[in-house]
This record gives sequence, C-alpha cells and structure tokens, in this order.
Amino acid sequence: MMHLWLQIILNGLLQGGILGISALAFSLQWGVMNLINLAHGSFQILAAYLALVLLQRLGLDPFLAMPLVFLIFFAGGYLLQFGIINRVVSGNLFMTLLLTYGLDFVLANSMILLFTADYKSVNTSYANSSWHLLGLQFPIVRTLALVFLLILSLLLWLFLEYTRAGRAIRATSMSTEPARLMGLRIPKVYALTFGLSSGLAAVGGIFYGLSNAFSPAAGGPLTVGAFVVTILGGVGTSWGPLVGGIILGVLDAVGSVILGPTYVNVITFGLLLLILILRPNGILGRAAA
Amino acid sequence: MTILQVENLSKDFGGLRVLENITFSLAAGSVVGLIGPNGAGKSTLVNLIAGADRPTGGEILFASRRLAGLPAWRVARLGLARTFQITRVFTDLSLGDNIRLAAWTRGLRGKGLEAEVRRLADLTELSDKIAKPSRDLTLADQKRLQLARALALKPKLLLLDEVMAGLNPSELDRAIQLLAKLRNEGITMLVIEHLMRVIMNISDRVLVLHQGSLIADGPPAEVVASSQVQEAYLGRRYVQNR
Amino acid sequence: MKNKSLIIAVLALLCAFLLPLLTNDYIVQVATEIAMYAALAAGWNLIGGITGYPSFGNVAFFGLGAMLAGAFSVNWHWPYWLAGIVAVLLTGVLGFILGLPILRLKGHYFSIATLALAEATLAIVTNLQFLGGGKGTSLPLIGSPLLFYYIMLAIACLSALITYLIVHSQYGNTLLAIKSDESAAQAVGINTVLAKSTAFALSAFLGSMVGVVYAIWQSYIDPPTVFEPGITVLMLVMTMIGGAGTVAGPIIGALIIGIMTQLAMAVSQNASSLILGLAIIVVVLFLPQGILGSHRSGKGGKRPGKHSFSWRG
Repeated sequence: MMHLWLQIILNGLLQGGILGISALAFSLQWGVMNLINLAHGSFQILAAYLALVLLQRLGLDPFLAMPLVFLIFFAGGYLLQFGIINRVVSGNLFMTLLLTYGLDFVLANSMILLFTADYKSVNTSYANSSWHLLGLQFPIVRTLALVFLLILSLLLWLFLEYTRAGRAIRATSMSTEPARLMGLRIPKVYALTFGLSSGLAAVGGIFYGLSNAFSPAAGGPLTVGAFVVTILGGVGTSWGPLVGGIILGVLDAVGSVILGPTYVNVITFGLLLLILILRPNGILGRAAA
Repeated sequence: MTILQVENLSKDFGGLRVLENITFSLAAGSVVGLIGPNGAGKSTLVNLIAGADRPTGGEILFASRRLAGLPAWRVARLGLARTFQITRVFTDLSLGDNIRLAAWTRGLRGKGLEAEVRRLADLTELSDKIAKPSRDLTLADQKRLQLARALALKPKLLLLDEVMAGLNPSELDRAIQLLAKLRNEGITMLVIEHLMRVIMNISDRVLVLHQGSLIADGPPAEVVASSQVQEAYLGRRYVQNR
Repeated sequence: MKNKSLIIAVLALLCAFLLPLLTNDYIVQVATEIAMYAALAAGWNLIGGITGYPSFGNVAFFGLGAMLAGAFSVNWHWPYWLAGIVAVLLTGVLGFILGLPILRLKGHYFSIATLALAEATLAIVTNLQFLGGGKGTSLPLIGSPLLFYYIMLAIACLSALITYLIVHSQYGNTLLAIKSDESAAQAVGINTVLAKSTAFALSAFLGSMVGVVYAIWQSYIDPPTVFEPGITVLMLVMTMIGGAGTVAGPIIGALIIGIMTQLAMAVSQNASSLILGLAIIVVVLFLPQGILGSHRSGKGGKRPGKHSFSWRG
C-alpha cells in the first residue's frame, strides 16, 4: 500500500517535469514582457509535430532533433516578436491577448490542415518504457523531462544572472524606461526573450509528444496548465516553474486517485482560485499593478 | 477643536519601517504644511490617513471617529478628501463628469448637482474645459481637476499631496490664491509641498518628517529656524528657493 | 449625433426584424447565432469593456444558465420558462458573490482567476449527475427556428438597452472611473467592491439568460459544449473589434466576426478558422482601437513602460 502511494507521488513528481518546462517558457514571457501568450500551447504542439516529422521522414531521434527544433523555434519566435508582437506588446493588455489568440487560431488550424485533427504520438522504442529503481517505476521520458527541467532552470538562471544578454533581459523586465536610458534596444531584448522562450516551449512540446498522444486541439489545455503552474510557482522566477510543476503534478496524481480522475480539474482550478483569492497579490506577495 | 488626531502611527513595508510613531493633531480650520526630503514617508502618511493603506500600528481619529481599518471610500464619505502626488484623473470621463461623479457620490442630484459642478469648475478656473475629455488636459489642469474633484466631496479635511509641483510661476500664484480662498471657507488642510515659498506663505504650522519620524512641529518661522530641521532637509533647499 | 445614432439603431432593428421574410432558413440560423453572440459580448462588455476587468471566464455563466435550466426542467419537471428564470437569477446572485473575492484581483490575475472559475465550474458540473453530468441533458423539441431568432434578437436588444442605460448613468461613470483608476475612485467615495460586483452580476445575468435560451434552442446540451473557453474568447474578441466600452461595439463585433466566419467558410470550408485567426491578427495590428475607435476603448491592464511583474531570479 505504502509502495503504491510512493509510485503515485513519484508519477506526479515526474509529471511536474513536463509541466515545468512548459511553464518555464510561459513564465519568461510573462515575467519579462508582461505578455500572456495564448498561443503557447500550440507552439508546443507544433514542436511535437515537427519532432514527429523529423522522426518519420529522416529517422532522427527526438532527443537528437531537440537542438535543431530549439533553434528553429528560437528563430521563428525571434522574428515573430520582432515583426509582429512588438507592435502591440507595450500597449494594451487586451491587445496582446487578442493577438496571441489570433495566432493560436492560425497555428491550431494550420496544424489541422497539415496533420489532420487525429491523435498522433511520437513513437520511439523508449517512449513507453521505464527504468526500475528501488522497486519503483521511472518512465524514461518523464524522468528525463524532470532532469531537463532542472538543467534548463539552472541554465536560464545562469544566463539571466551572468551574461550580458541575460542582464539586459532582467533590466528590461523591471521597467522599460530606465532600460531604454541605459541604451538597451527594447525590441531586440523582447525578440531575444520570445525567441528563447519559444525554444524552451518547443523542448517542452517534444517531451509532451513523447509521453502523450496529441492533436492540434491539445494546445489550449497546455496553455491553461502553464498558467496554473506559473501562478503556483510565482511569475518571473527561474525556479518557480519547477516548484509549481511539482506541486501541480503531485496534487493531480494524488487527487485523481483519492477522488477519481474526473475530479482532477476541480482540484487544479479550485486550488488555483483559492490561492488567488487568499493571496490576491500573488503567491509570493508581489503586488499586481 | 481638533479635527484629526494621529497617535503613534507606524507603517512597515516588508520589514522596512517607513513611518515610526507619528503623533500630531490638526485643529479645525487650520492649514498645516508637511515637509521632508524625498522618501521621508509623506505620501505614505497621506495614504494611511485616507484609508488607501493600512497602518501597522497606531490610531487615526477623524472628528473623534476611528479611521484605521475603514476602506478608503468610507473615509472619503466621512468628509476627508485627498489628491494624489501623481495626478490621477478618470481619463475615460470628461472633466465635468470627473467632478460630477464625486459630487454625486456625496449625494447631490439634479439641479443641485449641476450647480455644484459649475461652482467648482469656476472656482478652479476650468469652466471653459468642462466638456473636454480629461485625458487631453494639461498637467496643470489635471492638478486643478483633482482639487475640484476632492472639493466636490465637501470635505472637512483636505489632504493635498504636491498639488503645486510642475506648475509655472503664474499658475503657482493662482494656486496659492485658491488655497487661501479654501482656507477662508473653513476647510482644514494638510499640505505636502516641496516649495518652501508655498509652505511659508499658507501654513499656520509646519510638520517635518525625516526618515519616517516627525522631527519638528511648530509655526513655520520657528521650524525653519530649527537647526535639526535645517540639517535634515531645509538648509540647502530653503536658501535656494528664497 | 444622438439623433443619428437613434436612427441607425431603429433602422438596424427594422432590418433585423424583417430579415427572416427576405432570406432562407440558413441565414436565419446564422443571424440567430450572431444575435446570441451580440448578447454574450454585450454581457462581457459590462465587466471587461466598461469596468476594465478582462474576464476569461464568462462562459461559466452561459454554461450555468443552460445546465441549470435544463436540470430544473428535466429533473423537477418545472415548466421551462420557470426553470429559466430561476437559473438566470441564481447565476446572477452567484456572479455577485463570486465577484466579491475575485474582483479584488487585478490585471492578469483577474483573468486567470476567471479562467479558473470557468474551468472549475465545468469540472464540478461534469461531476454532478443532477446537472446532466458527463452525458448531457436532452430537452423537448419546442418552438421554431424563427421563434428562437426573435427571442435571441430580443435578448440582444435588451443587452444593448441595459448597456445604454448604464453608460448614460452615474453608475456607468462609476464603472469607467474604476477602469481609469480604482484607488482614485475609492478616494472620491465610490464603493468599488459593490460597483464591480454588481457589474459582474449583470454580466452573469445576461450570459445566463442567453444560455437558458440556447439550451432549449439546441434541445441537447452537454458541459464541454456550453463551457467551451473559446466562447469567452469570442465575447472578448467581438467586443474588442467592435469597440470596448461602447453600446454598439459588441453588436458590431458579433456581426463582423459572424459574417467573416461565413465568408471564410465560403472561401474554404477547411481553412475558415485559419482565415478568421488571420483576420483577428490584422484587426489587432491595424485597427487597435476597434471599429468604433472611441477614446473609451481604455487602456486595459497596464501602462506602457511600467511592469506589474519583473524577473526576479
């Protein structure tokens, strides 16, 4: 019995890896640009399709394809922010929501046209296998996702803390005006941020595709999940997504066993609502504008 | 008669003490200046009195009523009005509607409401811009509008947070005259101001806030002469502005 | 100006009224949907456009109206009109009560909380047998397409009338003041909590009313359909495109999106959603103030240059 519970908690913990990588990208956009990207989930699904195509056509293993997919999404994200999103991001909150919603529509429906609305999965030899340790099952993909999340969080933190580009991003995130006075080119910093987070989203998307069946419609729930994790862990921190991802992953895993799988969303969103109401200034007590 | 009594008021922001045991009182009908260097806690004090923020400790009595814990709108309806250091007009409303809304919440309706809006627009020399969207107003006009809107509450006590900052000399003279007029109407005022000329001109009494503590309280001339105050704040600036 | 608006409104209403005489059933069905979305968007506009609280959960009220009315009429055999009235009133009261804590949140946090509210409501409804649970509710087939067109049209008109009355009242100015600057609104004596919650309740009331009619119009409803988050987003998109905070904005937005969807489907059945998405992007980039483009479109949640969040390591 004890053993069963340990496995359940472990499953939740590992699920936190996939949730966390997704939220890392989402939180970066939110924290730095005050941008809520409603197309976030569709970016991830697109990356999963890209990994699938690379596997099927070129026989390229998703993990080997990861750097390539990251670069493609980095470039795409950079150009998207530089060419389009920058035009509205400094203005009205509605406008960025609306723009990214339109983007989501375009992405999701393009994917339906390209790949049909059917469920697909990235089938590799290891996709459904597990490592066994101490009598517990460690599904390979999810375990690696959590390891990747730890590494990516650390890399992101080091990047933001110790590199020139990272410092520019942090300075811009606090307030654009002083950053401008310091000689930073805000549009470029934003483009860099969006490129980086698009690349991270793509990595998360590949992990999602490896461990779940997906369709173009899966983007919406992924965006919502990233929302929840980001709030749970705190907006604009390198380690928040890890914390939030694990909290949500474990809660969902334990909750679905105790109350049944249909209650998972009641827990997730009930909890989110409760936290928001009890801590109206955010989990870590920072004031919203 | 005392209209406002502040006792041992303290405020912490995340472990940082911004105000420390502030105690003072305002006599009804008096005009009191509140001065101090940037970051001394002046605006925080105004926010606490107006109910926009909660004190960490201490009491605020307005016309013998405890204010601590009351939401800002209740405080406003008791007759305690304020302006904001950074002008905050309702940009989605016209100038007239800004004033009208405040007078309406006070309970005025119909002809009485319209008459009051016109009277206040006249008083603040804004009559010709009454239909203008308030987002299109100049800074000086927005400052006057803030004042008109505060006056629409028919306040017994008015907290003025740097209403003169950014005005040119002629606008400044008119603003000083306006405050003198309000004083004659018997409105008690607590005036935060950086310009010593203004403070010396209109105040019966001056409070000096320095690093969250009240370091002086007395007639303007005496306060200015105090060496402690000169050291903390006044010396340089006072000499400059004289 | 005022007369001109009145003339346009009367003419538009006349056209809408006579529409079924001149066209076929298909157009009537499309027009019913447009009227439905106009009413939903108008409800959203009350809280999102006028009060400046961008709700992402208004579909909850639509869904609750539909599922509650269905449950009362199927389980308790109430006549549908009674079930509908009770459902609408309950949803309105619920909107007020939920608004009290949720409307303390600002900007993105409010948006997320409302999104969570809608998803939590969906999850709860899905788990309640009484409300149709996972399998949905079937209602008797009554009325005719024409009847439902006129009912939806009436609700759309009612929504526009309510918006008009609010916008031209001191209550409306109160809400606009809250949108401009909430602390300043409190400083002039406005009980902002009460004002906002009332706006949220009215928004819930209208959304629920549309849901009640939608349920009996469709005669079959299930939670995933009536709690579809995309419905909220459509309300938001339509309001923004038409002009947030205005009386005609939501109607114009619903018309534009409705007609654009039909045109896109005429161009390509498969790519219609894609075209719609592109259209939204184009509107945002080139018509950022909405069609009515008044100063009332407001500033939404943030000021340029000043961030509510930052990266803090």
